[in-house]
Amino acid sequence: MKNKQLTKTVIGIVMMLTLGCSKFLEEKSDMSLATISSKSDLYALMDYTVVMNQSYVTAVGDIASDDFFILDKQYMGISQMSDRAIYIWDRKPLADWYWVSYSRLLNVNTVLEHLDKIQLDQKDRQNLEGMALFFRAFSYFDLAQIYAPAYDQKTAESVLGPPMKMSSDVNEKPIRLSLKETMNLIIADLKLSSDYLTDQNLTYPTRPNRNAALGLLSRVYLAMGDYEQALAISKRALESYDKLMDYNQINSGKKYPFERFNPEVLFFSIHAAENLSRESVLRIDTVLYDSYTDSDLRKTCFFSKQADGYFAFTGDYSGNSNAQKFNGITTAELWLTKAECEARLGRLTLAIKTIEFFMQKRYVDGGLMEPFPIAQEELLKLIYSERRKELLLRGIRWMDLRRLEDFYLGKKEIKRIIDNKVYSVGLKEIKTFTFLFPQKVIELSGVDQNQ
Amino acid sequence: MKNILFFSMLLLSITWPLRVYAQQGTAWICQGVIQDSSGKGIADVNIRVIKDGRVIKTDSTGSYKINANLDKIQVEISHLNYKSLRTVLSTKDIKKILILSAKMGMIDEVLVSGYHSLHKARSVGSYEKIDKVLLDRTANFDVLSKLEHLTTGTYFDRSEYSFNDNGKPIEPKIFMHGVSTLRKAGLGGSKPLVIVDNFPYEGDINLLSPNDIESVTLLKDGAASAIWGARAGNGVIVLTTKKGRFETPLQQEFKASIRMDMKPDLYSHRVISSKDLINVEHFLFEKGYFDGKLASNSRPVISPVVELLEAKRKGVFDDEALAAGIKPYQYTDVRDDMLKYMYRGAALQQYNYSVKGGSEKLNGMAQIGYDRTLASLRSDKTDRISSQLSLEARLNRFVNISGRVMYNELKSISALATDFYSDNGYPFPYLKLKEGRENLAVPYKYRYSYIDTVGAGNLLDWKYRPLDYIDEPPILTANRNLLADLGLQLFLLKGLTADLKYRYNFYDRKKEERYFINTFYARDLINRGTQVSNGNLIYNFPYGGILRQQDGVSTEKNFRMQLNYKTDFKGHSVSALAGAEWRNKDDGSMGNILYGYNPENLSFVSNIDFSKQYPTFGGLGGNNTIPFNSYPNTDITTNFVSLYGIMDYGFQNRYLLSGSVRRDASNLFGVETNNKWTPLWSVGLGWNLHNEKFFKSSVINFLKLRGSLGYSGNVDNSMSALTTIQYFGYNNWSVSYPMARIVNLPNKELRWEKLRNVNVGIEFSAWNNSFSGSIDYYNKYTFDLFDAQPLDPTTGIGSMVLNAANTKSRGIDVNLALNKSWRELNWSGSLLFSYNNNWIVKTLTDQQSPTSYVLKGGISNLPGDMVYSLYAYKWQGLNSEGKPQGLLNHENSTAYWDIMGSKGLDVLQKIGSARPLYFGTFRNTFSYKQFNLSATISYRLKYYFKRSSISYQSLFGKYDGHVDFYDRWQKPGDELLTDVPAMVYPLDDGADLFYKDASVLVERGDHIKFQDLRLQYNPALPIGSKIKSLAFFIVAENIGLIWKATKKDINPEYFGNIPAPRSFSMGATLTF
Repeated sequence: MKNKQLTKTVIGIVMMLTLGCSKFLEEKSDMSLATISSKSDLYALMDYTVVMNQSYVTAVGDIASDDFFILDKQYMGISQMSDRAIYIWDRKPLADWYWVSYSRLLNVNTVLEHLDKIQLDQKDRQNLEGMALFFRAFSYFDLAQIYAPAYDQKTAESVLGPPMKMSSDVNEKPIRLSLKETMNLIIADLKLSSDYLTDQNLTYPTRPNRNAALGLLSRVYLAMGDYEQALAISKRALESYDKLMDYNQINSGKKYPFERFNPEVLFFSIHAAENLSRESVLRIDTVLYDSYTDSDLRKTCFFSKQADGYFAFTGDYSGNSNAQKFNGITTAELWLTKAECEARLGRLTLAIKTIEFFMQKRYVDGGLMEPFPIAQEELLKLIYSERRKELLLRGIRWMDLRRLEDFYLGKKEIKRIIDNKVYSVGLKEIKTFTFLFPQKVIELSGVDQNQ
Repeated sequence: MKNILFFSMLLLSITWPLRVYAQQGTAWICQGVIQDSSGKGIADVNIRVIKDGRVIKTDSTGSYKINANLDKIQVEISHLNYKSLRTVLSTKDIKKILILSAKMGMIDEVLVSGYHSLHKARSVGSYEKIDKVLLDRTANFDVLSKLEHLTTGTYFDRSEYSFNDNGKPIEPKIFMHGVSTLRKAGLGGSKPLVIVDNFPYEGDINLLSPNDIESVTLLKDGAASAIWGARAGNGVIVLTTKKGRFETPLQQEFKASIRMDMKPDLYSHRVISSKDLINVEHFLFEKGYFDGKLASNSRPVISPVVELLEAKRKGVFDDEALAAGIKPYQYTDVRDDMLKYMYRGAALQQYNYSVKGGSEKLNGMAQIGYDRTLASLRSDKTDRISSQLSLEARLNRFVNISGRVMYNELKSISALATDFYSDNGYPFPYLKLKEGRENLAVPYKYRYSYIDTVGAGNLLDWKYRPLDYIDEPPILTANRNLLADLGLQLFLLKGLTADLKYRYNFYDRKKEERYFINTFYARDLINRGTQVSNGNLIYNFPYGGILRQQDGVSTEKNFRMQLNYKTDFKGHSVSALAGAEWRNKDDGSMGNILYGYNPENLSFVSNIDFSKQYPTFGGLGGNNTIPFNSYPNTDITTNFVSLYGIMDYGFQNRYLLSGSVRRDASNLFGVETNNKWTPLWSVGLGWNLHNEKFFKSSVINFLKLRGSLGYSGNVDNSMSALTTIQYFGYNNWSVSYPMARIVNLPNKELRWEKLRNVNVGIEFSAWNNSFSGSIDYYNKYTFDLFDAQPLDPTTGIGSMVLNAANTKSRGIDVNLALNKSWRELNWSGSLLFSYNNNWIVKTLTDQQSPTSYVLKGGISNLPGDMVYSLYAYKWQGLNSEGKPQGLLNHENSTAYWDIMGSKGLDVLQKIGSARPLYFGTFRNTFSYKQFNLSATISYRLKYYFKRSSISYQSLFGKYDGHVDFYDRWQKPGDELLTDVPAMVYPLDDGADLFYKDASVLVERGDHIKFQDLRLQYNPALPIGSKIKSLAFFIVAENIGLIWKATKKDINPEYFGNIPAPRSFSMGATLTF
């Protein structure tokens, strides 16, 4: 009898325990893993600097531009064929790391898709949406520089922009819109972004604020040749914040004189690592170097003499010495944009004032002696010279080569001589030049290779 | 040592009372019964009284009665099918029970599944049991490594073996019955479920001492393993630990063994001589290959030869001085010093003491062991302490209670593996490492001439001495495990028992990396952060050592309630069980990093500003911040609930039917509860032909046919159906916002991996068990295997794990044993043969570019392909310029990138299997009087691999030049004589990558190996000796290859890499 009772009890306990298990099974297994359920999760995705603020692709454009050269022996020692190809405008599929931009777009799409699924107050929602749209616009603009031709009003509707991903769904295949539609989308994103973001100065400019969005927008308009808009936008940004560092105060004796998040930085990001942009390899074009006058403080702040007698660029704003160079947005760029637009639109007095203010921060005190040119063409030449000397290795030279007239560039082609062989590309060709997508993209995405 | 003393005292105090029960009885007659391990009496056992040579046999019930004229007689007990026993019978023993253990090949074994035990004769599943005698053949640090040459159907994957692992506690990669999952090792991979007694053991297998293990049972087919449900997908290995037994006299056992390996043969990595390597350096220097490095401000490391060449170019040296400077390097091989000072013969010492005994109501076992393994790498060693105490008591007619406590500890000290020789050589292979008593510095990370003089004495010594890490290894790890089992067995009604079992398992892991100020790692960071300002030294990086710690704790609670019912009536025998289990495991770890650490007073710098940027000394780099890179914190909880049942039915011991069913559920992250429960089941049939009336063979005494069908699964808690993000600890620009990345994209279709296992087998025993064996044929089909599918890069994620693949496996396991005796000479032979192959049935990915298929260790994804297929580029020889040629669009081509990225796969040749399809061992044992000699031959057949050859990328960049360099193409016409491509400059990386995977480098891997040779001596013991048995043994392992299919001078067992060395062991076992 005792045994029967014991038996029953045992069976009873068994049944009871097996039924009360749901909570046991709901327990989260790995605490560091999370589903997206709160605003901190969305912020954390936007703050994932590894992908959001790195691996921009205009690094490729820098290699293909005329600001820098590589010594023959160094060039021959580069082991990756696709890298060597960029330097001589030989269209070969780029290496895989020129596609990290799409991880950035995945974060952007995920955040945008969750904005309505999570409880957010107005301020956070706008902030998050503003940031997401900024990153989306910057990514597509960056990709367009390399994978699409230059923007030309006449042809923009018939050429394709870069592949675009509109959602985080793995099964959705990317689409390519016309370059015109792509640029429209970029502009719309940046306009909305600048509305949503505040102009508050952030401790860490890895997050964009309104001025960053406006800065990028003015760059976009400049790329499209819309000087009116570029001027209006850059003015708006500068009215909010216009600080320029006085290079007279910079210690040019230090090899890397600039701090990472210095006062000129509106938005901080860096290029994809490029074997040819390594400091040990890249040398500034001798003619360009000589164009810096002795009273130009950038001559000493930006360059370090190398054992081979040439100069390497050590003045970028990334605070690193490796191959990932700064490509973000600075107030200096906005000043230069403003001056260029004013000059283009004929407001020469204003342009002179702008460029003079800028140059005072770059030249030795009182070193700015010569009178400013008053004719439009001469003034623009001066402004372009300053622009080129200032915005080195930021992916901007490639953009300028593609949008400016031969007259202002002072040449018709770029030429290189390696091991007694001559390689050259005409500026006309550069305007329609597109690099080829990495092999993996063609294999797996269904996108057709650029022709 | 103190621990051992304490434990011995504990053991003695517990076992002392048990001695009392061993002696009772009347005078002049010795009586008793001799039984086998299942309690059945053995007839016809010979009992020989040693003093007068009389032989008495047991009757049909196994009972014996001996007249003695002394109160104690010494006897020798023997039977053909059982292991002999020498013992002392006392006339005081009226009810003596002697248990004989079966010799190899015997069919009457008791098998364990972790839930129940059953007689082999009545089981329908495929089990393989390895007993103590076989386990004790070799000396190994962990128990799983012993199984390789003792089992069928288990493949030990050595494709990632590195000789640097020799002597280190490593877990072998085991595949039971082929492929059950495509997940990589990091996600559990192919690892079988390891059970220790009744519950799964997820800790480091190296915590368990092999001396703790009594037997190992492999559960191979569905009927055997389906009872473990969603964890049995990869197969199940049940480790049964030693226990006490009721009514056995007190027995103590002491074992000691030492194993010594030879030093690893570094010279089997065949490279060009230092002299020829330097000539290549000369060539590269002239071409300007090193100019970038020489000019760079970060002063990257260059070889001493390049330093000399540069000095000559600058005019510092003349030709003569240059030649004199280079000369010593031309004749030095770094391996000489490495073998002298860095490597040694690995060694393993094992000591074990155990005592057990039992009375009618109480039995106990206590054990303590100490093992030490010294790795081939002089810096590394590991110590293990293992101890165990178990007790079992019959409280009354209804209740049995048992308990056990096990405490194990592993302590290791090691250096980082990267600083030593590897299968890719060593940079600057012509250096010396030691001069007299002094460890020499080698160029490392920086240019030697720079760090030698920089700083004008302000900086810490910046030199790197590889042997320093050997002398003072910086990494300490300590693992501890406390396991406590409690069991209650209730005898409820006739045939009905209830089992309650509880296990508490506690693991503690600590890892410490100590980079004190004398280590290069710390000195380097401090120097890089030093600033000289106005004659003052500023240390931006904290001055002192660096201590990085990781602490992990894991607690596991398992609870099981089970009802068992057994009944026998009118020829029907039924045994059934049903139960429920809960399992909870909490695993957490934390990381910590201390800077400016002083080990003498344990102080460290506490006010570190991780956001402050500081310049790198000498412009060697950009601005830095102090890295905050401690180990991440983790916290993982696993909960498991299961319900299960088994039913075994037999009719007249002729027809057997068995079934099992199990439902598992787990807190699989993100999936709704409904999908968390999945039932898994099995069914098996058996036919004992030898019990049939029509079966009248006098030769075959046992013949069983059996078959089973079972479903089991594989669960992986890291999979989720929702978008999953993972938080990261820190940012490299010291931006203080938390960061998270996306690790998993949404997948509503997520399901568990499932396996369907079909097995048919035949077991037989003939000529009175002198010839026995089993043959199994199995067919496995897996569904919904998780596989990382490469995604379109435009998705933003490189790959995603989906339930993507179905595979199938087929195999045959053959196990044959033969025994023959001639007078006092006994021979037994055992043949183990396994055939296994696996195919992809379906996957979701599309065909990829050829580069994906030629990867080493790659798994094919083409339906119909073998899972482990070896692919290589079609080889069309060298062209007239010495360039390798492939086949593209039916034409010879040197457009390597086009070949490697081609849309079609006709540039590839499918060679065959990358894994042996047939493998096994053949073992011969001879025993004569007190000697026992056994030899094992192992074989692996029908597979291919690619041998290594010259890679110009490795030669230029890593100073590793394969000897094939000497056979390279050098002038037109050579293409008819050689297949080794020419050296070209600038480097053609495409040609290099193409050649590495070309079909010309494919070799057959088939080989037959003399695996081991063992000699054991059991000396005759004097009469009246207290010693029950004594054995000495010596073993030689890894003796050498007997035959290999490839004609090249490489070892196919290790795919051409530096092989595991030969080893010698010896030891002794004493029981009293």
